[in-house]
Amino acid sequence: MLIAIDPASPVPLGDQVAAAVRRGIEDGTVGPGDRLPAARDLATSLGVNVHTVLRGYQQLRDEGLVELRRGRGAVVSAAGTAEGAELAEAAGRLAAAARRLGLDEDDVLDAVRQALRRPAAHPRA
Amino acid sequence: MQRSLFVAVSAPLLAGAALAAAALGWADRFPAGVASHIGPDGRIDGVAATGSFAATGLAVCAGLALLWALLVRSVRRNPAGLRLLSAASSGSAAVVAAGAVALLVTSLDRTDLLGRSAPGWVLPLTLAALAGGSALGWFLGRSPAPARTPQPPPAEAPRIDLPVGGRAVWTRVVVAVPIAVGALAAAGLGVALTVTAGAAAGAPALLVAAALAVGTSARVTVDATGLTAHPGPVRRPRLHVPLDRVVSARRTDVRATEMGGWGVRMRGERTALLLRSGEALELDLADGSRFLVTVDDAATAAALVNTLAERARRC
Repeated sequence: MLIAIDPASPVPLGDQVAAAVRRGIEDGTVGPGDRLPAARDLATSLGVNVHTVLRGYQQLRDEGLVELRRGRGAVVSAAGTAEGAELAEAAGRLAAAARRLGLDEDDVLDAVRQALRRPAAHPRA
Repeated sequence: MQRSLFVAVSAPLLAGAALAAAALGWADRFPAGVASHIGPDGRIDGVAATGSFAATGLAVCAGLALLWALLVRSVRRNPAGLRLLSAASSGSAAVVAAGAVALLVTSLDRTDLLGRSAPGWVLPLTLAALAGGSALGWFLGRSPAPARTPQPPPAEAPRIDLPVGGRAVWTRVVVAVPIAVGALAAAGLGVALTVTAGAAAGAPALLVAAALAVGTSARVTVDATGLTAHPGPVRRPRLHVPLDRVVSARRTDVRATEMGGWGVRMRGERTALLLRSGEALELDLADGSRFLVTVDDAATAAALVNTLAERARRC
């Protein structure tokens, strides 16, 4: 799994770490049951603070893609499949757009329900 | 490279010459022969005639010289392997020489030997000789080839896109199925022996199982410090190749039969961490040797090694 970050990017470094792991899950280089590198080792390799890496891992846990267990580190969960990662990534984009537009949660969920009810013939219009 | 070969072959021969010279030089001072063996209780339980003692010692040393020469031949283009063999040969020669001289000195002017206790300094002396001889061989066997390269990897070597100032790490776990099977078999044997014959009978097999279990998987990491590999569950022991030793990296294929089995192997100019046959990351090193580690997605790893090496040498 390649984890590349760009400190010059406006995206927070923890988010970049999470995005790289998500890509790894999406393209199948890591799958359910696989252990992610220890946060301390990854932080050393990338020259970032260990809390930055842990923030990324916690984000992945909140998305249900990894499980964080004391002593075992971060392990890709059963939901950590290519589909799961794609869904988490799309949900993240939706949430970012909703925040930018200042929408509240109910409006966003309504919009998602509407979109889901629309016939599959024009999903990407 | 020639020096380490010279050390590996000449150390046992020198040891043989030294012990033969000591035995023959003192030949008329062994009225009861020479102590040839010390039992586990610390008492002398074997005696030989001076001539046959010297002949046996010489034969052992000639055998060592032949063994190390054959091993040296198998890694002759790998400076790290030659240095290791140089240390091992010099250490083994020192042990033989120190052990033989200790037995000779113990036997000097003694009219009876069998059943007498051996002096307490024989074992410490032998261990000190092992340490000192190995260190001397390690020092003498150092490679004259430059270990580092200032040149960036060749242009045709693969790279990844990494923005200026971007940082990247590649990491992957590789699992050794044959070693996992061995660990399971040893664990099963250990449990069966423990149940049928008691804990003392089962313990060795369980220890073997634990050792194999540690070697069942490895995490391979490429970052700005170079390539690092360590067992999956623990950080040590680890193999590390600093980035400044790497000339270029590529993806390759390797078979366990080419390298004589699994584990850390040295063959020809190649050193390999070989946990399975198949796809591997291969590094050309500045001293002319090559380092391989079997791992999936090796093409990405190789591209990152080249990218980071180029970056480190451009600034």
